[in-house]
Amino acid sequence: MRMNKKELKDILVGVSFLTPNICGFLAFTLIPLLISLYMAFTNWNLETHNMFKDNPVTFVGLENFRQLLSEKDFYKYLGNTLFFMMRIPIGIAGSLIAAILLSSNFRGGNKRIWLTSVATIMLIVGCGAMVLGGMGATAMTILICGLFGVVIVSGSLGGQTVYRTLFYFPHFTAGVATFILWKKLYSPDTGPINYALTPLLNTIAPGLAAIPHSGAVVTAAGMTLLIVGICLYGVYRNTALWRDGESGIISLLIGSVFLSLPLIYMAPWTPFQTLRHLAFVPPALAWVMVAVRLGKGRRHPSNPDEGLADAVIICGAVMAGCFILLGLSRVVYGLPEMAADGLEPPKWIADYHWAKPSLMIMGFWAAIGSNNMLLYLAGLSGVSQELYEAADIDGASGLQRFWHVTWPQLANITFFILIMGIIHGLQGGFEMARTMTEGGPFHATTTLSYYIYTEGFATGRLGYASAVSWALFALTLSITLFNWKFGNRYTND
Amino acid sequence: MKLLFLSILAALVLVSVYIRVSQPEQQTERPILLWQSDPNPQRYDQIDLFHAWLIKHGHVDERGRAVVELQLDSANTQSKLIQAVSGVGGDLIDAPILAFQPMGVLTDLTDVARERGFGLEQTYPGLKDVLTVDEKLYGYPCNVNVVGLWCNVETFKTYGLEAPPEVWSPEIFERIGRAFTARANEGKPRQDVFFCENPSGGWMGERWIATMYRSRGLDDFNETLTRCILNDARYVEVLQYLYKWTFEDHLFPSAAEASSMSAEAGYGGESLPNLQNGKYGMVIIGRWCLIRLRQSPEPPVLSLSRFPMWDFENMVIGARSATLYAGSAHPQYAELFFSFLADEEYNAYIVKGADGLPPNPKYAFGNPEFERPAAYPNEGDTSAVELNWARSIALAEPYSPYYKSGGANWKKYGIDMLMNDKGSAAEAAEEIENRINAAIEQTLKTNPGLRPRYEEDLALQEKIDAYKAEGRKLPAAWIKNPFYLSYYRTKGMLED
Repeated sequence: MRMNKKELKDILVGVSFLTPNICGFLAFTLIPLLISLYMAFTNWNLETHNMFKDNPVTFVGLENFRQLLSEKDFYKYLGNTLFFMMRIPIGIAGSLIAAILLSSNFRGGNKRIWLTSVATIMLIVGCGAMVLGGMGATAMTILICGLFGVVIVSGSLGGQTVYRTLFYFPHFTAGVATFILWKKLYSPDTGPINYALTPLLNTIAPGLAAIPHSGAVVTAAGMTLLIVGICLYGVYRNTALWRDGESGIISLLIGSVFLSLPLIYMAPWTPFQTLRHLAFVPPALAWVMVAVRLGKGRRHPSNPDEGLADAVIICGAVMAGCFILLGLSRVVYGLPEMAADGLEPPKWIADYHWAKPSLMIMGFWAAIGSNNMLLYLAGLSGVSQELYEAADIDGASGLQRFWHVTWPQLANITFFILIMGIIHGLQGGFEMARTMTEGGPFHATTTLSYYIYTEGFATGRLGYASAVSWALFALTLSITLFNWKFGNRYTND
Repeated sequence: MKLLFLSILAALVLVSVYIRVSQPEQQTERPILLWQSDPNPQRYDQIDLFHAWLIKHGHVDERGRAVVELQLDSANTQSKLIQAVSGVGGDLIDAPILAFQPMGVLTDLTDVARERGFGLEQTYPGLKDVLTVDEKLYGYPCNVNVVGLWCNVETFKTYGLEAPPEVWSPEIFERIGRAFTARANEGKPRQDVFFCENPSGGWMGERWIATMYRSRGLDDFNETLTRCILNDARYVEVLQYLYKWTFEDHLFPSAAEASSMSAEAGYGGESLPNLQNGKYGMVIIGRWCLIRLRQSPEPPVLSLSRFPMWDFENMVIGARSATLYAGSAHPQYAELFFSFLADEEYNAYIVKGADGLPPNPKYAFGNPEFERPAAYPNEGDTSAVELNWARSIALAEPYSPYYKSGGANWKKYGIDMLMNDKGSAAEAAEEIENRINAAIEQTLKTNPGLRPRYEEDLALQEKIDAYKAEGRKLPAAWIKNPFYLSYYRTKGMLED
């Protein structure tokens, strides 16, 4: 087919529009990407291979990857990266809750505005007076608590717009500035967080110290039983879903493994070490339930991987929650003893054990008000009101409305957010580590991206650093493909 | 749309042409030397001084102007390294020679130095192992430092204590430190005054720690620099002191406390405000701290002490060294810069400006403006003390050509392990030694060209170990580690 002159001209114009972008993509993305793929299979090292050295770069096959997989630090940094990724489901939940809240109308009436304004002014004046009276620490605590009130007041004054702006604020603040701000907030002795926590801890410490040991034991035991209850109920729900054909055999088994893990780890971690020989009972019970259900058979058949993504996400989140609860039960068990000498606030990023959670909290804060929230807001506005009306007619409760209408309607958005979150999570952590902790203390916050940077540009092992990058890419790709295959990509899936 | 597109294209072309025309090399017909250094305001004075020096010494063009124009190109070490290996480094690079030289990016200056008079004879003896590799000279210092403990005398007086002595053992250090800390924090709910800045942080603290174990006759590497030997009772003892002084005696703030104390830093680091406001009795720093302290309306009265140590007297000398990039387009002009650094004008500027010790000690030694500046009586003889260390006991930092220290700092890693209660001092020492030795193996694997020399050195080490076991004196030529050369010489352990 011959093109006429006008068509040819149009194509040339189109190509000329595209040329700058294509050139940029080739020069700064595609070609470097291909070079880095080549580098991953070579011994390219800045010390021996640069324009002032004659040594040829040699092909070393999979040697860099072999070395990578045999290096224990790689697994430590991978573990750190995955740890930071635990904020993704929490962040998704947070942004969804924020979006749902921000979809409601908060505007208050004139009288309410007047009252809240007066209350705010009184709060500020009161705190100022306390500072002048030498009660700075207490004033700080009250002020921070009061700030939440101010936020609410502002919301009721400006309605959704103010809330939405406030929630989105972290996203358009430059990353490094945010990190420096959080570094100051986390300052152990002079940071506002500990400044607020210290009087609080000082106040509650005597009370906690006065708790009889039996009280702590009962509470910790209650928390332990709660973990057992949650996990066993989770397994029961899993088996019920399998029975009803809503999940496949793979989903059932993987979900049950996730839910068994906290029960298994209770043996070494539980504060009730004298009863550890009974710790096999709950996980055994869980698997007996699975076996019984499998023995009885199912009502409706389904594919083996049906509902796999849901099983991974929900059971994974429950597992994370149970582990947190397990840790808390240990804390509660020893609390009266700890409180006897007074309670110290955490040292945050200066402490090996707190450094990772500190950065995760910060990431969580940033994730709630991010683009995810905007996507959910957009998604919520697109959910048909007829579905809610139908649910109301069927007598659905608020939770049921959410679970059977809102959540399925947002499946495509959740899928997109999850994929992007995982990609960013695996690639991320560099700026935080570089700005706040330099990967420390004791490499507690060194992520794979920070490792790639130090290996490539500080040690000069470009071949090895490229291999780490491609290993990271392979990991990202496999998780994405897993999500692609098993995730709920479509609304009403 | 097409018109809009063409307009944007035309605008972009115009901007590109403007940017090209406004490039520095387009602004002058003289050759330009790029000096990659830190963005210290004093660099600009030094550039002006260099231009004046060129004119004074007849290096001028036909219009009587300096024959070359020096321009500052500020960059950090990693940027310098990446630019250098990529062929776009500055003509003159302030660089750690021992890290850059193996990359082949630096020019051998040995012959030029002899011709132009800026060699090792024109600087401090301890810098030989900082400026040379295999007896070849690759740079000359812009300034020199021997960091020590700078003390705010008034803070000590406030608590009824004398300024600490210049020389002290760890035991005396601990005794004075405990007295200081107790008095300074008496009756306070939370300790907010510390005897000294914590050395378990940056590079200056590392020098303190090295000084301590070196004073017991231990270095990071063995005599032939082939293995790390820090898994040793002497190093463990130093780590135990560090832990004790931090968490038991509270002479130093812990990392958490230090982060709470951090004041916003200007030139000279964040510890200086804490020295001035009495939060620290002493800080770890070099003479360059005077730049900032002199700007203060009420500069503190100062004294200078060595790091606490046992019997073998030593300190660590370092330098910000200028090097000549192997890819420089104007090496003949760049060489002039080194002559300038060794000459009177530049050294006088460093003496007066207090940007460390001057590279050529002859302009400082016996110079009252340096040793006891009349304008700054509060400084006492601190500059003279640091100069004296540099000329007498200061040695280069621990170094091995088989260990590339650019990546993870394994010594800091081990100390973090100890300070975060993730292991004992002995476990930390073992971890550090294992990690560094693994890194040495990695270097040899990456750079097989080093292997033959390494094998020779290993064989030599076996001989040295055998001699030591027999209690025999060692031939000096066998000792590659400058610390052990000095230590054995002092202890009479070398053959005559």
